[in-house]
Amino acid sequence: MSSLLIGLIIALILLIMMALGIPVAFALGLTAMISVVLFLDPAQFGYFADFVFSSLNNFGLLAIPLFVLMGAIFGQSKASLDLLEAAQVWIGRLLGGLAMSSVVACSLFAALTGSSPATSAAIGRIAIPEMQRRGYPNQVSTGAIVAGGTLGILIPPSVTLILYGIATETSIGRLFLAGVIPGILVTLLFCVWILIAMLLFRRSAASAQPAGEDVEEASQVVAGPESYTWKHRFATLIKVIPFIGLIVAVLSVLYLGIATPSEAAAVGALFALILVAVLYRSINPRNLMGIALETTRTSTMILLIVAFSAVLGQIMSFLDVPQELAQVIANLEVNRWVIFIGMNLLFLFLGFFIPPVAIILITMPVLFPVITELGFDPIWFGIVMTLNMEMGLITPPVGLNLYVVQGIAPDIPLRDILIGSLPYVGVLAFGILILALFPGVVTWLPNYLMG
Amino acid sequence: MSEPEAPKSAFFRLIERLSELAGYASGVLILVSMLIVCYGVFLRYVLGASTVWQLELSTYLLMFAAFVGGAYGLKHGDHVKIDILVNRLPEKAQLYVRLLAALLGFLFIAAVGLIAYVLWWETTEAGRTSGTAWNVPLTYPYLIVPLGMTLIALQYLVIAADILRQITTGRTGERPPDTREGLEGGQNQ
Repeated sequence: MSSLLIGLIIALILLIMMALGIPVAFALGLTAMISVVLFLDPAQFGYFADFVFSSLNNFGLLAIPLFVLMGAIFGQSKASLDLLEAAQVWIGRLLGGLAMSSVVACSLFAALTGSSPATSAAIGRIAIPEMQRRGYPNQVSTGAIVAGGTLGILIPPSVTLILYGIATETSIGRLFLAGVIPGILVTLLFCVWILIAMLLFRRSAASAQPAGEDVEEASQVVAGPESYTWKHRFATLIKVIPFIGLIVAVLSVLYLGIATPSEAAAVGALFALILVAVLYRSINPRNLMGIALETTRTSTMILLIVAFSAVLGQIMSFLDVPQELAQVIANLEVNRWVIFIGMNLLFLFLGFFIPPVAIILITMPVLFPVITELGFDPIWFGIVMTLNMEMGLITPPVGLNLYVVQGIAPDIPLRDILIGSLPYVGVLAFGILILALFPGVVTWLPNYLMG
Repeated sequence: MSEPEAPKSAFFRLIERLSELAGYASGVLILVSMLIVCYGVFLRYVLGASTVWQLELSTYLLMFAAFVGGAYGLKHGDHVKIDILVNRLPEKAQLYVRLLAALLGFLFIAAVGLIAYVLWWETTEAGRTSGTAWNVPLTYPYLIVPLGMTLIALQYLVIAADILRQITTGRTGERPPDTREGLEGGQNQ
């Protein structure tokens, strides 16, 4: 039987297992086990336990729970409130300013954690009620949080970039640096979309209600009439400097090659704990345990997917599936950009159903040889793929951020959240286009700093 | 109807307590691994000394949090799954599919646990060590996977029994025992 056919059968088994509602991690493992029985010698079953053990026996993976821990420490504190305020005093006066401030606060929080739903939850919990109070349309307020949260995996540290780095043996320090400028770019694009959405909303409100007066009033509220003194502005800015200092420190030790990502994460988490304990005085044994439990829940979910997808990847590699697929695609006489678009459509499709962590771990062992074969820069591709994964966090049926926001604001109908969020899929696609046309946006910073 | 089951449910309560314990132990060990790595960093970059056991031990703690903490995750419905298709089924059929999924999950985890026990036993018999600078007997780290799988499998029994009870009593509409609770916790990736 050809390796490609075997690969297809394995993919089919995996889809059936996942459709039954078996947790993704166990569905991956079950598929791996069935594949051993079907296509390999059952005597090789003994290796299975070895695979499971060695899949996580990797010091590099420790960066994941430790960065999750760092995010949980900040998430539990009042840091998100300060971040929102710091953004609010600077850009709050613009049309849709509070929504834009939420996106900016999300991107700052993203620099403190590696997870997208965590970012949506931390900022959304305070920003959505505030936007509702000021009369923001539900679509704008929830859309900003759903989309803003996706920055969690683009702006370093990022759990998905760590996994991409491990799966493809690419420098995680470089990947992190490569995410910085695209992260700022996407933040700006999101803000531009908020402005457009607010203008559209204002126009439709004006045509629906020609009274004029109410509309003026409504947009006044939305614009945020407060003005802030410069003293106040700098006072709030100073409050967030320790956080920004921490993330700059974590990134610097990474790019200077002083510490490995896991070491940077451990020191970062320890400093985060000290920072929060000193600045907010909100650390006691009880909520420290809460932080630890929250970290366990997220970590075991991610790490079991890592473990069992590594086992499946190992077995597929035994069966020559990735090697043959790379051969076949490389021999196709089509433009590499056609294949690039095809891959992105595949990621987008998978993103409808599977969380980013699993997509990266399932597809990269198979597709990475193709990517290098076609001459794409692995760092650049990692960032493009992350933007694509961000779309998956927004799109139903398995858009994790949608459900986080629904959990925060149960009184807003899911329909409004969807309508408000889906345009950001287009914004992200536009972002991918920019990165494809100007790859320097991604590669300049890591090349400048790391040579 | 549920009266005669009282002794059995004491057994299930014990399992649930074990899953909770697994979560608390994992949480503490993540904090410990953070401190160990920081200590290693301090030794190497500040004192210029070399590290012997820090990398290895902290990696084993990570594995503990993943495999043993998995039982706590399963109890709280943290393991991401795709239930859009299942949710579209009529309620009765949903329960049967959930039962099937729980049983498949149980069988898989139990199988991994079994072969991992065999591996652990062979390793212990042969007295293998990790062959690193620290050279720890592998019997300790190799126990992590079978221990974790046992706890997850036990937790799956509780879930399967819950679903089965919902089927037999015909009480639908309760929160399915295998779905996530406390979404606003929000840390889920």
